[in-house]
Amino acid sequence: MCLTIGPAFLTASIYLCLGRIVIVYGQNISRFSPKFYTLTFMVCDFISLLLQAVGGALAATQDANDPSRDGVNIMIAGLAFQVVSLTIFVALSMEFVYRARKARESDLNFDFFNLRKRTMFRVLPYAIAVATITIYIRCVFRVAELKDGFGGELANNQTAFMILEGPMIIIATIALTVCHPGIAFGSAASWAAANWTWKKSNKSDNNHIRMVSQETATPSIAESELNDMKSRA
Amino acid sequence: MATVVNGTVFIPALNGTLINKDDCAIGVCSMDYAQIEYIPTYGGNLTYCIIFAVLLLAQMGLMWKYRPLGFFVGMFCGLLLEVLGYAGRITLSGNPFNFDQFVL
Repeated sequence: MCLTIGPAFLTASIYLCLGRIVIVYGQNISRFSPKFYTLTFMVCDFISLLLQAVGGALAATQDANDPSRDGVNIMIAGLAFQVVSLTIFVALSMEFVYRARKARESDLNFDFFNLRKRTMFRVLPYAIAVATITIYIRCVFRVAELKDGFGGELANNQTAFMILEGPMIIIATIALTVCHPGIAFGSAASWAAANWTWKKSNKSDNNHIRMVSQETATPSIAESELNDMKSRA
Repeated sequence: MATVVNGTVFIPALNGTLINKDDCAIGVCSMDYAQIEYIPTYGGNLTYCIIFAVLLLAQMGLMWKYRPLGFFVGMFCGLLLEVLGYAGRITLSGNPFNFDQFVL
């Protein structure tokens, strides 16, 4: 039961990263807004988590001799839903990677220019890919395992379980720990900066304007005062 | 076949007598009545449990340094459930008839 719903939380963490990465590269090159990515996948994840938990609880309270397999079937639905949302996640991530590679540097978010050059940040998408693939394999295995119920052949095959369940999640979590988003972003501040807000739409196309304004900006009052003091001295 | 008397499940033990299912243990009842038909490996599950516990601690350390709250909540819950799950399987390796541990 714990092992069934555990990875649904891990995928939630993975889904969160995509929205942040989209902001770092620039929302204007993305098909959807970071808010859309994060919210959509959070809802999907919540649904699969709910189905797995309800199914698990139902299967646990159901009599072993009960011929109806409602609990197990709901669990399978939850796991299958997780597989479907992971598939959509992979597809949308790949599409964004394609767009980011195709984009010119001037189209990308200027605020995160240095972050994009960080080695650990460039490794993060690969870590997410590894984690996604391993969790995907594990979810497909669990669907196949529960297809015949707890008494099924695959559900009673220890070797298959010890290879396709535990190690897959271990590889996924090692990838997300070694290339932790904090390490990838370099600091708590840059992770916090790459966030979307509930209030205003983040769909800003004023990156160029901001670049220009920074270059041609007049010295601030403090700076001009400092210059005055220097000239007087 | 199992017989139910006043909510208690009685099953035939290997020596032919009917016994309370809760009293089943390896060697007393047939593995057909266990939650899973194999005895979970003790060493394997212990190894996985320890690995997940270490990763959980590492995530807590990284949370303390970088504060990615949403990411951490997911990783924390996920890893904690993995640790509990494999701990459950360790106890299940001692008694594969224990339904509570199987649910865990």
